Amino acid sequence: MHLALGVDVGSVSTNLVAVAADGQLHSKLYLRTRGDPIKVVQKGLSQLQQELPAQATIVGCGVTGSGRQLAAHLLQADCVKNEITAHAMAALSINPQVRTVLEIGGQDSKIIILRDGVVVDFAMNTICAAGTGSFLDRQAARLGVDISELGALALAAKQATRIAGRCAVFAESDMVHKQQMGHSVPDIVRGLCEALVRNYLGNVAKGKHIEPPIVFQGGVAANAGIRQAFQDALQQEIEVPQQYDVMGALGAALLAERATIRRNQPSKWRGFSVADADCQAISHDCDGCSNGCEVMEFCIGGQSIACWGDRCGKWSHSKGIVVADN
Amino acid sequence: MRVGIPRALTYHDYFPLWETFFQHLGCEVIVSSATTPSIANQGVVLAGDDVCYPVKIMHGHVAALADQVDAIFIPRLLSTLAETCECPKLIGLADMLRHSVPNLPQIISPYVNLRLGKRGLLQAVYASGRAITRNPWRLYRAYCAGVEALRLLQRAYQAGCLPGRSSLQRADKGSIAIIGHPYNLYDSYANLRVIDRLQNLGYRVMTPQMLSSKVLVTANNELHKPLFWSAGRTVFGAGAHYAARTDIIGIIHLASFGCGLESLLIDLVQRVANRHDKPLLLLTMDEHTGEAGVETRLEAFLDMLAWKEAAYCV
Repeated sequence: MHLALGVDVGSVSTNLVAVAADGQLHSKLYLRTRGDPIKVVQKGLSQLQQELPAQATIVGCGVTGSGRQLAAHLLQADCVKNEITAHAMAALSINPQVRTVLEIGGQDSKIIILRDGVVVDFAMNTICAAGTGSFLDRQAARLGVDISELGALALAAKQATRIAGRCAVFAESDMVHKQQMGHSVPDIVRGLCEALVRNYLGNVAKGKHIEPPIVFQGGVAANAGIRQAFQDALQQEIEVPQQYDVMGALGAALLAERATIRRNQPSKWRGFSVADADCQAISHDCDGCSNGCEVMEFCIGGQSIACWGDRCGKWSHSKGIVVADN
Repeated sequence: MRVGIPRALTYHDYFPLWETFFQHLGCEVIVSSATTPSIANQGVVLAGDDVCYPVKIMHGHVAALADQVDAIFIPRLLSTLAETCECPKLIGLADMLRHSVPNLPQIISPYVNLRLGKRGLLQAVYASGRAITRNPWRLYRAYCAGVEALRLLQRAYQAGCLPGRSSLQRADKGSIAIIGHPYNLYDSYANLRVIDRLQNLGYRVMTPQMLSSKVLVTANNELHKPLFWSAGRTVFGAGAHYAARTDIIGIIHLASFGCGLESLLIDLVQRVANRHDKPLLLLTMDEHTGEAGVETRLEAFLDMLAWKEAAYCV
């Protein structure tokens, strides 16, 4: 059995998928990154290996997400891609007619506009992470509600309390204030969902032509309250794919498959053995010149594998291995 | 007399003029180095909290010059184009710096107000050099030499060159226009080397400075009402001009977070790009040095351009 491996190392979650040659998902893992991308990828690999049948071979490995560079060195990936392209690929594989992709992840949110199966426009949140998954996480914890129940709670609300959505700090103080005034928790949660959607549409999606079919993906798509708020605001059907939480990884796997099988290239990935290897990333400030670059050095089994982060190439070229984004 | 010129803000628009002017008057001109992490950090510490990042960087450059020179040149730019105005932070820059950077030498800070026409210009020239000589003819000759140097730079730009780089630009993959304030475009620390990244990948980079003022004026006619800001006319004019050009495959708008002028320009440029169906990427820059965010957006944008071209990815 030939499978392509996709890994999406995000700020909040790290996802791994194995995809069969026909594009069907074989297995998926959704893990919390918890600030240690190397460990979590290793843990995911050993879990995935147990789930796969013994005769399975990995014929391609693709990585994406904000930790893709680290993961690329760890796995020696065949394909390293940004999240926009990966998410667009995955959405197209689910619905080839898709014209709008809404994606809300842990630390960032994006909108991708496609026409005839090609990305024609996109945007990501600027420098503020208000209205993303980590913000919802925090508010759920503050209200003492499990994050997975947040959606159901919002749907149970009789009406929405108005919450400021511009900024996470304002939203939080607004929520506290409204609670003290006696608004019920479900109403506040519904209000929070609407504020988040308002912020997304007025900020990330500003000036973009949102047309159906619309696919909503990323971890936050699990929240039925947000889904409903999007439907109400856009007056359109919103499709949430079954694999909404691992779409980035799915896209990376599909891209890896293109980079290897379709080009008749053998995969160069390290194999499952790397799950047990002793891996370390060490950073230091280079003092070679006034740039003072933060150089990262990546070691497996005590041996230096790759360096990156320097502007001049003094460190990265010294290793001979340059995993370039392709 | 040693005159220091901070390599920040409007330095990037006028440096040959300023350097030549003071050299012609017999001064030793010391320009601060290109922005380094320590200059930027120093600036962030010294500057007020709510100014934009380029102004914070300016603070770092001025502090770096403070103990090396007898005077620092920080002109007070009220208007650099008839009927327009400059950003209030540029107008009040010298005062801001005087209060936030300790142990400053004398500050040469002439009013530059071209709303007054030739008279405003001559007053600015006189005020700039008054501390060195009061001979108006000497000052005027130094100014003319400076203007000649500035013209050379402008001619180099219009021939497609970028400052401090080899004259030839490869263009295997096409031309991308990158618009924004010169202090964002030409400070590779502040923009996280976005021009280098594009050039290394084989794109030719076009900037607003490569367009003649005539082209910019024509492009601005598209607006119902002329922009009030001098710098805005260049950025918008370049955006509108490049959006209409078929040889430009995409536009990157480099904006500073919290810039009042950009809040208007972002929308205006977006609209003109939409009208011409030109791919546009907005990069909002601030203090972050993590390059992953810029890399992701840039890579996704270039993927999009390639994908569009070939209707095929990877």
